[in-house]
Amino acid sequence: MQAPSRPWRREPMLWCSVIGLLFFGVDWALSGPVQATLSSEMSMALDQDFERIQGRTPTDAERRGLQQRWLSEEALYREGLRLGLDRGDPVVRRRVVQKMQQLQTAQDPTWTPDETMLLDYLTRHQDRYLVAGTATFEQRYASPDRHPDPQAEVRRWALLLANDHPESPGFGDAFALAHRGVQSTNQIERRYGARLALAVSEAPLDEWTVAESSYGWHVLRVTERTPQRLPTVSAIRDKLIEDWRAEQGQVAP
Amino acid sequence: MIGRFLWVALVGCGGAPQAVEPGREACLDHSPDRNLYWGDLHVHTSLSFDAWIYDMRLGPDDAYAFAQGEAKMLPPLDASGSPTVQVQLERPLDFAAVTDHSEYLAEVRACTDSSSPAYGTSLCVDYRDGSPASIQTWGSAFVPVDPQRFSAICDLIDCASETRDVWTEVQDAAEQSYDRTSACTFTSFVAYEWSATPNISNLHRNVIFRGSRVPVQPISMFDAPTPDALWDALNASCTDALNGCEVLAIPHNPNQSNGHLFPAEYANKAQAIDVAWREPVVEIFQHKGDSECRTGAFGVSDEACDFEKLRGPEPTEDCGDAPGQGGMAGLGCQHRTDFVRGMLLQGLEIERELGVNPYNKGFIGSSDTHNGTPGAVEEDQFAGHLGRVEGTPEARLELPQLNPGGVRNNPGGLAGVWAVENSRGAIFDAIRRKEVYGTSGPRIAVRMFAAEELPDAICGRADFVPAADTAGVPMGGTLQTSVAPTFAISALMDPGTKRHPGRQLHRIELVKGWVDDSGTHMEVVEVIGTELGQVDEATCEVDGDEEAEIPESGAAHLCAVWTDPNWRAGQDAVYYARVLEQPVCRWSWRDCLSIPEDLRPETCSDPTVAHTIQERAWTSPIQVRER
Repeated sequence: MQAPSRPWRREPMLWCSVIGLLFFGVDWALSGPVQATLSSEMSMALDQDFERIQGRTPTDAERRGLQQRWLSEEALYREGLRLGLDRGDPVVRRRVVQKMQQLQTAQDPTWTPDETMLLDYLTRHQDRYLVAGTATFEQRYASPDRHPDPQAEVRRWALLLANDHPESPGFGDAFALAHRGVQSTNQIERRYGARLALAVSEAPLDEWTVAESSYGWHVLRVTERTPQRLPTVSAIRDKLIEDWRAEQGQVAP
Repeated sequence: MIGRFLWVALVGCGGAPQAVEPGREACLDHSPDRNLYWGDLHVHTSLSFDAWIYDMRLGPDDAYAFAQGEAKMLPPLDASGSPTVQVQLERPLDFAAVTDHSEYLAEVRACTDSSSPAYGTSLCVDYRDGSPASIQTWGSAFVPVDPQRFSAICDLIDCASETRDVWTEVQDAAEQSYDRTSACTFTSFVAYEWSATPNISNLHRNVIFRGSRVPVQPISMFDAPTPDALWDALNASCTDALNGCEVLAIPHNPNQSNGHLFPAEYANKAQAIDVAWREPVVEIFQHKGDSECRTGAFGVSDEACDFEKLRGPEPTEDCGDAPGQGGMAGLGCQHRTDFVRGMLLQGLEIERELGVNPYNKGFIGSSDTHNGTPGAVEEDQFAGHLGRVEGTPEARLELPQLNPGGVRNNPGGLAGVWAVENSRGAIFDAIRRKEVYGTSGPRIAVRMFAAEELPDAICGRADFVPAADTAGVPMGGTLQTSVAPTFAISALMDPGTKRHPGRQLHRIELVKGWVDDSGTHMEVVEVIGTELGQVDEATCEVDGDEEAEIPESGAAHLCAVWTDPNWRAGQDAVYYARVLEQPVCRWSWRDCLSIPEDLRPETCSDPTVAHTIQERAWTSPIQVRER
């Protein structure tokens, strides 16, 4: 039995030719005099760049737009290079010089310290990076505006506080700065003055002590102290690298 | 929109979300009662066109180092071109924001980098020459309502790309100086100043980002010439586009705005809510003068308003309801909203109409230094803020010309912030909830609370802050009440340093503004005070000085509780506290004394230039509404 003849519209050869022509046509339309292609690395970089600026990954439509724009620009760029438009342009020259300088700094092993070098640098310059200790304390202030002899008043409070006198929770005047809590030792000095900072650093723990600040007389009780310490390299890595490089720059021949 | 409204309502009620900030250690110094941190949120470096031109060469990294206590050198330059004046803060700051003009970041770089293709243009040659004509040329481009960049430069370089490069440096400097360890010694903010100046009226805003996630380039008035355009651009590039990008803006001190900074009309409620959200605080004081109030204008008889007036004592024309122009050149009429009292009253009036107060704002002080010297605001150590133009006593004492600077300027002020810790998140949140205040320089510590009822004798309680927190709201909040509001204010003098002791307090006043059917009103009440102190003008010694034979006056600590006897149900009112120090010599008189009498410039004998001043702090207001 003779197979029935196909309508011409269903002829595979015809469709293969049409599709081939279409592909050819699109390719011809997209490519300029110079052809650009998009590598998977560049595609990923475009995505990352979008995410860095917008804070989210692009949608499919946005990604297609990004890629199409990049391809068009890349084609123009390559054609421009082919025509020598970059030559003699001071802006291009300047950017290339800047990039080379950055590259030299980044690639030069003498400018990239490893973990041991950073730790060594931190140890050698520890005074510069020490994190102040802290003290947990509460204080009561006797305002000279409210007590004729504030020093005598805080001494009286200290005695009564030590003996848990029933009136003692009410001792102290309205003081704008914190009257309790954890504070770093350098902040204590800034807030209350050197004399009170010294008293906080030396007072016996859990005992009421009288001390003078920049504002007048206080009675205070320290409940905990933590010593000053060196931070870890990871906590201040960027700063260390910058300072280390500055030192290298100074000692370089 | 609803979220912002809820935020405003929540913050207004005194409740504040806790700062949660990824990418840093928790601060060891942390207090739910809030600690006091000092900072400067208005600082220019050599990246600003009007700083480099005056021989100032310190960059953002220098400015942050200076804020943390490093010594730096300033103009005038010597014969070899090196700066000659050393400056250093005796007390470091806790935080700072470098806020260079976002305009001309690329152009200044192009004109000052000899490898730039634009370096040899006549515009750049003149700029490096630093002539008054050149600063006029650069400044004039700000004036048109549709400002344009210099094509002479931007045709030769890619100004957008160059701006992004400089902006990256700004971000890097902020990042490098931000202490992310648990020590929390210093906080920096990525920031810039948007400097629209249409018709020479000052509409500038300092744009401050909460974290390091910021748009790829700053918005300048060339990109966005109006405040609405600025905010559209900030929303498009930050708030709506960039996860984790948060931003607010601080209007420049308004005394040069000719009434344009705080308009009276709003199209709708949503617009007013937006303004309240975007700009929670305003700069009440900086080196270009005081913007609290003006004696003898806008119905103000308060004599203490006669303080650091940039335009001097001569009466200026009242704009009435029609804003003027020319403010930044010391010209044109002044508007009631050029001073924050007028702004507060205008806000109350708008609220009566729209139900929302766009001007429910807090106050901060800052320096606006153009010397890269954040926090250099001490009256007795003023080395100028504008490069060589203010580099010597003689230069500083000149009468102001069209150019900035001169004897009517001052060393600027500081921002005091009550924050749980010294981190970007905590400081930013404190500004948002307006638990911040301004000073004219001194580090006066002041707290203010309002409540329907406060515990008995709260001034005699060590737990003043937690007790007041429980009873009411702190500065910046809104009190809903059915009875007359009661206020508690506690202030501590600036202790100063051993070399430069602080000055004792003179008095605390409460300033009240309200609106009723008969219009707007303002009154000032002294809630506690001491005898006025003395200054020996021949030596600038004051009472209490070891050498001075003047009996001591004033107080190290003042505390007062006050209930408003005139508050009536239905009265929308706003209150802020003003804490005055005892008088000291003004910086200019100290400069005069440093010059032999026969060589002193005329301004030293000008009776309109004060020899002594009473420095001060202004708390952020508390709004009071009937419950």
